[in-house]
Amino acid sequence: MDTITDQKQVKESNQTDLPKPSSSEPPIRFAGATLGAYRHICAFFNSPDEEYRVLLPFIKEGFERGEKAFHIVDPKLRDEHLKRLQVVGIAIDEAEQRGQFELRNWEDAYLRDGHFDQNKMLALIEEVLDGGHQQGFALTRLVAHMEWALEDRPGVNDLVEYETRLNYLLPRYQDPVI
Amino acid sequence: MRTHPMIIVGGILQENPFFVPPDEFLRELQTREAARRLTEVEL
Repeated sequence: MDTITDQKQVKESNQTDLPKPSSSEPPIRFAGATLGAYRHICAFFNSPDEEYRVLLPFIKEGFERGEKAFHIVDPKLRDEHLKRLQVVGIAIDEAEQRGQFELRNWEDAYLRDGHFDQNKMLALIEEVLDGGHQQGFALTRLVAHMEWALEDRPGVNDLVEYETRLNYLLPRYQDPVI
Repeated sequence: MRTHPMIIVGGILQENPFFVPPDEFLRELQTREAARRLTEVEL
């Protein structure tokens, strides 16, 4: 894939004409728009309530369609995250048991071995997205909280390079990464 | 933020006008790193 050309096309199109997904999957409505071909998404929220108001319909729809959900959260907010999912009727225990839902703390994803290693994290994202398909899920909706990047964590300076390198990896997948 | 082709601001998903493709962004990072090393040597 010619990433530069493709991304230029992103820049040149406008909000009402988002790039179309390449498959015949049903449209995914998310945050007031229909998800297009470019699914590496940065989200800013003013409060947890705003965040979950935007994310929960997207997350819930994925569960209802039988897709996989892979979430990475601040361990301090893990219980609150689970409660928010349960409040909208997501049966998290059952989903976990059938492999449809996986929830990881930062320390089991971005900050394994106590620091951020961009190569290990890129490998994990690839492993998760490939794994979802191998398990038989049509899509994996990956949602990751990134507030750790605002803290003085070892390796955090490599985060920007990691995020740009994700743009080589993610165009190979249709799985949304938020 | 410049590393994401799509962005949600104000609860709305939209294309990110500040997005920089990875080839270009990596070149920028390399240039920045080279300048930083040069400054260190000069100090």
